[in-house]
Amino acid sequence: MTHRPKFQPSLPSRNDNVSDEHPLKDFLAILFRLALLGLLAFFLLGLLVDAVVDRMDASTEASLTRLLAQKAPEIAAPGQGNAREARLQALVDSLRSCAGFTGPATVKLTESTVPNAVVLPGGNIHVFSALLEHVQSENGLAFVLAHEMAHLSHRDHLRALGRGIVLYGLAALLSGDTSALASVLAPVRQLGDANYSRSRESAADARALQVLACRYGHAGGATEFFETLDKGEDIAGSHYFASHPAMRERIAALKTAIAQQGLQTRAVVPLVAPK
Amino acid sequence: MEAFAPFFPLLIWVVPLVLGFVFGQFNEKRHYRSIHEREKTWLHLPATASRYPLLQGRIARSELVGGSVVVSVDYFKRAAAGLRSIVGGPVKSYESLLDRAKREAILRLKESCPGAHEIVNLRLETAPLSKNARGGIGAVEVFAFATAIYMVEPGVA
Repeated sequence: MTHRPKFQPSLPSRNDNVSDEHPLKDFLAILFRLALLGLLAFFLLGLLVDAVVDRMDASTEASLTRLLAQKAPEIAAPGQGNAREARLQALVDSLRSCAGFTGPATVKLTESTVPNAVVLPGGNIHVFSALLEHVQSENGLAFVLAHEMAHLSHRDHLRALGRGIVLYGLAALLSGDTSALASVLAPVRQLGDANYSRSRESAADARALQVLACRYGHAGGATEFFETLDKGEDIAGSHYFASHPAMRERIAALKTAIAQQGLQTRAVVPLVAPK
Repeated sequence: MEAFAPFFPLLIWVVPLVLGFVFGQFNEKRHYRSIHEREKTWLHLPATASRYPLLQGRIARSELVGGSVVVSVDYFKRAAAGLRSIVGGPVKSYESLLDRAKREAILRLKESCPGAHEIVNLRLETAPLSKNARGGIGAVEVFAFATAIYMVEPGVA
């Protein structure tokens, strides 16, 4: 008989198979590192987008524009809507030589209560109908349109598109699907981009001022739209509020530029409603 | 309030995460309390993977016994594991889950044969439910099976 020690049941004093760490620690550490890495990648790839857009030649831009040109749905009713749209188109076309803009610029009037105008890839300028109620003169309207044309000639829509692609690409890489995470990241992007787009908006304002002075021979009406908005109540959803510098700062910046460039402000051409 | 509107999609992600963390941690703590208590209660019934019993003497009878448990991950554990899957390394959030499952399965096995004197040939099998299917419930089954031995005259070691 071999001697066997008596069996004494006991429980282990500690469990090495399970981590003692707080479960949040691991989670937050990884989340923080990934977020940092993602932000860095977004920032660097954003710079890459800028570099590519800046170096893009005109023919590439034109073919991109053709590729992205989208048929906007015909929202405006025939008659007054089309007449207003044609007027806007004529105003944009009259600004072309001053803006030095040769690419396509198609104005679409969209019924909306938000006074805003946006550029979409493919040389589309979408004017929201409420904008027309917030300008009193042709000069004021021309400034807003020149601002949007400046976005087109600065290729800001391509920059925004590039950054969008970068964001969705990163989201897809990290999560494996684009749908959920990208929508979650959208506000983060808005915050991260606010500074960037503020500088793009200021650049577009400065360019629009030059175009306005060239077209009418004076800078009257440049601050008209902003001043109307500044007096009015807050309207959320307009990009003139979200990422554009605060209304008064923009007005002040424009007035400084007018003074510095020695521009005159003369009587504005009143906006006549089309029949 | 309107300024926070863009962050609402973020809430869709954060709210289940917080709920998963609160409920998951509460349940885990409660489960561990129960496990520690019952393990003490069942300490007198040795369970080994050995083919031979520790106890000596005449065996009256033996029978196949089993205990199984199905546990599910909570939203937080799944998110933590999801983050882990990007960078690699030990999935700490799942370690405690499987530790609980294995110990619970063995406890249930012991509770299925209260009159036994010893458990031998203890084996554990793990089976994931719904594998890697997208949106599937991330649950795992742990099955413990063994031979329960009943002695003629117990207590002779």
